[in-house]
This record gives sequence, structure tokens and C-alpha cells, in this order.
Amino acid sequence: MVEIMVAFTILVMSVLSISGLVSYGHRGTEKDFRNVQAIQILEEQMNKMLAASYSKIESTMGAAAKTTLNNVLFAGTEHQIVLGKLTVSKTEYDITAELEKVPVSFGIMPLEIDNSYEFAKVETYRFGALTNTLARFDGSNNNKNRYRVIKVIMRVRWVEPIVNKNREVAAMSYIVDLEG
Amino acid sequence: MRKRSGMAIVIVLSLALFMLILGVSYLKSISQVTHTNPHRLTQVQSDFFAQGIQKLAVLKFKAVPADFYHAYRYKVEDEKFPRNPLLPKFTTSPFSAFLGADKTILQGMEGMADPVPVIDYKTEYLVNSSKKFDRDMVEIRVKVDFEGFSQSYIANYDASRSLILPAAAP
Repeated sequence: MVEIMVAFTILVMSVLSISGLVSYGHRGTEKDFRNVQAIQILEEQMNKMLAASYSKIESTMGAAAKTTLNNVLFAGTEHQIVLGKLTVSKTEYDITAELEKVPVSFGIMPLEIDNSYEFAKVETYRFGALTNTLARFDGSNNNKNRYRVIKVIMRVRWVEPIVNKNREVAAMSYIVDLEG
Repeated sequence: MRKRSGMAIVIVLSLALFMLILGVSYLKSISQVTHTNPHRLTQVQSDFFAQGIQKLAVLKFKAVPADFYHAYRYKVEDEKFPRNPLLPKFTTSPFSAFLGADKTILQGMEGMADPVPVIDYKTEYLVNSSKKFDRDMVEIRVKVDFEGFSQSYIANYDASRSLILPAAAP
């Protein structure tokens, strides 16, 4: 009788420990699944954002130099970008896009053409001092130096159940006006 | 009966050992999934950042194409051996100036990738010309470095050059 009781106690303790181990592993699997899902959502929406033209994205900013978007963009069109709350597999994800116009100026040594210049003869090339005024896009002049670069930061946030921990994945890129 | 006393404990311990082995092998099988996830996010961040830098490089090329081509041709001529004695010398090569010094927009500028943890990035241009036609393939290479991860990206852009002749007099 004592032997059976001891054996039963050992059996119950080991079953409880093993089941705890398995459920810990299962929770870890679900946590990774949510992480992978968040990365997939991030990738999909970011690809759509980068596929949109500069002018379309700029129009969503209005007159602001910096804005955060959390509503669906271009709803009902083939270019629809899903921002805001999105529920996938019982997990609610919060997707936001931060847009910021970025002033850029590129440095070059400009070509200086004089009477000796011949395209076919490299020895006739003359270059001026380094300057960053010829390729400047900082909004300083209405059209010539208008903003042509928008920085986009896409974030996907969610709350891990049970532990109630906030988690986030983010990526960034640049949308550039290459038209005209 | 005496010979069989104590068998219950032995059986239970064997069962417990068997279940422990099953549980550990299950944990080992899922632990491999955990390791791939951090690299997946880094890969995605790297891809998008590199795309952005490549577009900035194209913007610079489009803004000042003549300066680019002349600087590139000078670089090619300057690297020939023996060097053309008639070729002017510059303290900074015009093409190096076009690429930008360290920590400029195309070469590892601080804060360009925030909040993504990029350690460094570099940009290069190459031109593959087709002499028979006035067309070039401009190749833009971007190398992005993260901690423990590095990736190179190549994008090719077709560029054509044309000369607009003035209209003939009537």
C-alpha cells in the first residue's frame, strides 16, 4: 500500500512537471508565431508604402513636415495600405507609419567647361571646388529645391497575453521623388 | 509476492523518465524556430533601408548626371597605367567627392537609419556602357552592416543619353 502511494505520488509529480514543460514550450511557440506574423504584416504594408508614388504619399501629409498615420490609406483602391488596428489570429496589432520630409543636399565637384573642353578628351576636364548647392532639396526654393525625400518609419505593436508585455517591430526606408 | 515488491516504483520511475525524454526532445525541436526569428527581422530592416539608400543614390545621379559621367570618366582614366601625364590632378578625386566622404548621406551618415540599428553602410556606383548605342547601365551597390549581420544589394538602372539638335533654319 505504501509502495503504491509513493509510486502514485512520484507519477503525479512527474506528469505535472512534464505538462508544465510542454505548455511552456507551446507558449513559446505561440509567442514566436505572433512575432513572425508581426514581421509579415510589417513587410507587406511597408512594401505597399514604398510602391506608392512620392506625390501620393506627400498628399497624405498635408502641409505638415512630420506626421504619424494610423488610418487606412487609399482605401478601396489597389494601393490600399492598412494602418491602425488589425486583428489576425486573435491577436490585435497596431500599425503606424511616421512620415517626415527630410532635407538633403549632395556634395559634388561641378564640371567647369572652358574653351579647351572636349568630351572625348578627359585631360580637358576641369572640376570646381566641392559644393552642395547644386543638388539641394530642402524646401528653400519653391520648385527648384523642393523637398524630394520622405523618411518613413513603419511600426507594428502588439501586447503579449498573460504577461501583458508591449512588443514592437519596426522598419524604415526613404520614399524619393524621382519623377521629373 | 515478496519477489514482486518494489516493482511499482520501478515502473513509475521508468514512465517518468520516458515522459521526460519526450518533453526535452519537444523543447529542442521548437528551440530552432526561436533562433531564426531575430535574423528575419534584421533581414527585413536591412532590405528596406538599402532600398531607401539606393533611391537616394539615384536621386543624386538624376540631379547632376553630367557631373557624374565626367567624374566617372576621369576616375577610369586616372586609374589607367601608365597614367596620362596630361590628366589634371586633384587633391580629392571628383568621383570620390561624388560618392561622398565618410558620414555623408550615401556613406554611413549618423541617424540616417534611426530607429533601425544599422552600424554602417556604404554606396558605390559602377557604369557599364554600351558603346554601340548611347545607353548605360548604372549599377548602384549598397552594403549595410548590422551587429553580426551584413548584406550587399545591387540595383541596375538603365540610362540613355541623347543630344537634342537645334531646329534647322527654314
